[in-house]
Amino acid sequence: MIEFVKVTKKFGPVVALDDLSFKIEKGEFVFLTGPSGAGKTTLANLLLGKFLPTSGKIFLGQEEIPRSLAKIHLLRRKLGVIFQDFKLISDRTVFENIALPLEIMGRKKAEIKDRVGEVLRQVNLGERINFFPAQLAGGELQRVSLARALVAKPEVLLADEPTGNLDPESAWQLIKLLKEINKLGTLVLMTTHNIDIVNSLCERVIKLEKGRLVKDEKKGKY
Amino acid sequence: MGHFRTALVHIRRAPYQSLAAILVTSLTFFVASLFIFLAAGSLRVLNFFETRPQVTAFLKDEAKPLEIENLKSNISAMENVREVKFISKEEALRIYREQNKSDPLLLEMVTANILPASLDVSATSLEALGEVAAFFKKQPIVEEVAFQEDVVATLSRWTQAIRTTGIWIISFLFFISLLIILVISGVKIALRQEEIEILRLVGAGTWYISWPFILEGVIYGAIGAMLGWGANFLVFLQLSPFLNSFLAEIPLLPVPPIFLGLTLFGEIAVGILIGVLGSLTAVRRYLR
Repeated sequence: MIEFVKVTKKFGPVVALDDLSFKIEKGEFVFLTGPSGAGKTTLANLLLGKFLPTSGKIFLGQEEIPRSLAKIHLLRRKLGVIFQDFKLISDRTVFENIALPLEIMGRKKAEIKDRVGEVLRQVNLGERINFFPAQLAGGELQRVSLARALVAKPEVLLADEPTGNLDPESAWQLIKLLKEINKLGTLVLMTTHNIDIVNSLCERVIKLEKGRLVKDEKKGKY
Repeated sequence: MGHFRTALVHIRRAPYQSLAAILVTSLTFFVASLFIFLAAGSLRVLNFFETRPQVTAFLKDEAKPLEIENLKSNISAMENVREVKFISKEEALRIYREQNKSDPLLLEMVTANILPASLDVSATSLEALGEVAAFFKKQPIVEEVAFQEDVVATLSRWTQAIRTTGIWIISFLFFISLLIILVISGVKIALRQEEIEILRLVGAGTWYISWPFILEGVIYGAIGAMLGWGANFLVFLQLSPFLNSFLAEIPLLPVPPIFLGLTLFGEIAVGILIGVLGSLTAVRRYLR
């Protein structure tokens, strides 16, 4: 589903990722760990097509991530993404934020309404549909972000430090939701520093240090 | 949210920038409408003077009908003469009465005998008028020659000057409006960088992001054109009574509705074009 083949990313003289190769299959739950500066965010950004690898190839499904940044939006429609800082549009309501990926894909209004209602129930936020982001708590904001990531039914969900800004209770609620989504067949790749979460779940752990893969365990610990 | 609704939200969220863009565009179209109305009006006035009798030869009372008929035939045979019309003393009196019917004092004491008979000549070119006037002056039965060459030539020069000045001023103002829309769209794109980044991350292509900004430019251009035209129309309505009495017999008013409609839709089309060009340039320049 996701495959990195000898991927290197350099920023000038700085090597952010060094000859990285791994493969993640459909339906897996994978933690991407490592200290600050290990290359986790670079890896997530490469997967999002924010920039291109210096060398090597990245595959999402059967397709290689496009070399042309002009076509990258088509790749991003196949990925669901949640971020540490939520990245919600402040002057749009919960409904409008979640509906965004479907509107971009040109789906019909009735279909959008049904699907947004469905994911809002999934993340337990049905009653907040007309609220603006400023009216929500941190945990709720992350659940809105998750609902937006799931609305287009992606096969891959990329979660970049999603619990970084959350209190422990909200963080565990989010993890529970991610596990439920994973059980339905979605590949979840989550970058994190949270030792408790990684150690409790006993899922696959890929660890990076100084841009290199130092550990890849099926039932790993931090 | 549709692109048009997003554009309206952008306008609502930054009302002062939007107001500035609309006001500048309105001013441009107010001046443009003014010059269009002025140019069309002056052309109509010029046309009026060109088509009415331009040389009038007042005949001596002793002129015999045969002599008058011969003179009329000779003038009609001249090149570039469009029409020659004989106005008898009685007809001259009828015209005089019609023109002064609102002033009884001027009608008293005036009889057909004091008014001279005349030959009214209209020509197809200004050059021909000079020849006709010179020919009349040589005729023994002609008392006096009234000649409108100066009026037509002056009007013609004025019409041309209005057109040239108008084109320069309007072009300059169009350019300023284009720049203002470009700058305001650029500022709005800069202010919405975070939103644009989020849109890109959830899969929006460049066109999806650009459309609301382009539609915003279209709204500025269209509203500016309508307001500018409307303000000009109101000024014109206010001036109508004065213009009616000032222009007297020149049939300038009422302005045909088709002309009003064409100028309005033409200006809206140009407004939309300016809006699209300004915002599209901003999108291409600032949306990376």
